[in-house]
Amino acid sequence: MRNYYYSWFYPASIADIASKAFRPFTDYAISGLNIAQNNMDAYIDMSKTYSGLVEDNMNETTQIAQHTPNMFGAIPKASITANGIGNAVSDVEDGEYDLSVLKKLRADLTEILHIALSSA
Amino acid sequence: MPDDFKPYSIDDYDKFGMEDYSVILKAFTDQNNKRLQIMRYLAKEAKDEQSAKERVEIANRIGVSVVDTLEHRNALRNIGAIRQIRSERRGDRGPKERIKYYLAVEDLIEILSLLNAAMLGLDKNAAKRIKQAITKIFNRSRHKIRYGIYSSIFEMQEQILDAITNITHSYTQTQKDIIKW
Repeated sequence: MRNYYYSWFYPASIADIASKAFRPFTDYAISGLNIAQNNMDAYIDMSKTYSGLVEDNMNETTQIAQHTPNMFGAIPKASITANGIGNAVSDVEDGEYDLSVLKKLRADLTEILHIALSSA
Repeated sequence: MPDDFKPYSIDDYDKFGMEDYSVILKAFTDQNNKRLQIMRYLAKEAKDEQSAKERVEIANRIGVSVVDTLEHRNALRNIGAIRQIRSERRGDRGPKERIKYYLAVEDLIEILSLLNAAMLGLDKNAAKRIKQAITKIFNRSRHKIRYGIYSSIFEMQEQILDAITNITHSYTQTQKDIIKW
C-alpha cells in the first residue's frame, strides 16, 4: 500500500495555507473598512457642508419670506399676463398687482432713464 | 407739500408695505398710459430746473386737457418721480407765479431700485447696492453717449439686469431666475 503524503494535507500546512489565504481577505477587509471609514468621513463632511448650505438657504429663504410680503402680500397672485394689460390696469387700480405688472413698469422706467440719458 | 418732497427713499425701505408699492404702481398707471407719456416727454425735454415745462406745454404735447394733465402730474409728483418749481411771472395779466415740472432722475433711479429689491425680496442693503449699480451704469452710459459711443436701451437694460443679478446672487441663487423670468 502506498501512502500518499501531501504536504498541503498536513494540518499544520492547512493552517498555514489558510492563514495565507485569508490574510489578503483580511487585508482587503481592513482596506475596505478604511475606505468605508474614509467615505463615511467624506460623507459626513459633505453632509455637514450640505447641512450648512441648507441652513444658509433656510436663512436666506426666511429673509426673503420676511421681505417679499412687503411687496406681494402673503400669497402672490397668479400671473395676469394672459388676461391682457386692460385687466392689469384695473387690478392695479384695485390695489392688486403681480410680478408681470412690476416687470413692465421696471422696463418702462429703464426706458425713461435711457431717454433722459440720450437727450443729455 | 414742499416742492422737493421725496416720499420714497431707500432709507425707509424697511417701513414700506404692499400699500406703498401699490401707490407707486397706481401713480405710473392709467388707462391711456398718459403718465408714462408725460414721463417720456419730460425725460426728453425737461430733466432739470432750467428746462422745466409749464402745465400748458405738457398738456399740449401729450394731447390732454390741462385739468386731466393736472391729475396725472400730481400723481407722479406725489411719489417723487417729477418735481415742481415755482417762479414769479412778470406782467399784469394772469397768475402771479408760474409752476413748472421736470423729471427727477435721481429719485426715479431710487424708485427703480426699490421696486427691484422688493420684487426679489431683498433687504435694505441690497436695495442700496442696486441703486449704486444703476447710478453707476447711468453715469457710465452718459459718458459713452457724450463721446459718441453708441448705447442702446437694450444694452443699458441688460447692464442693469446683470448688475442686479450679481447683487442678488450674493443673497440667494434661486431668486436669480425671477429676474430673467
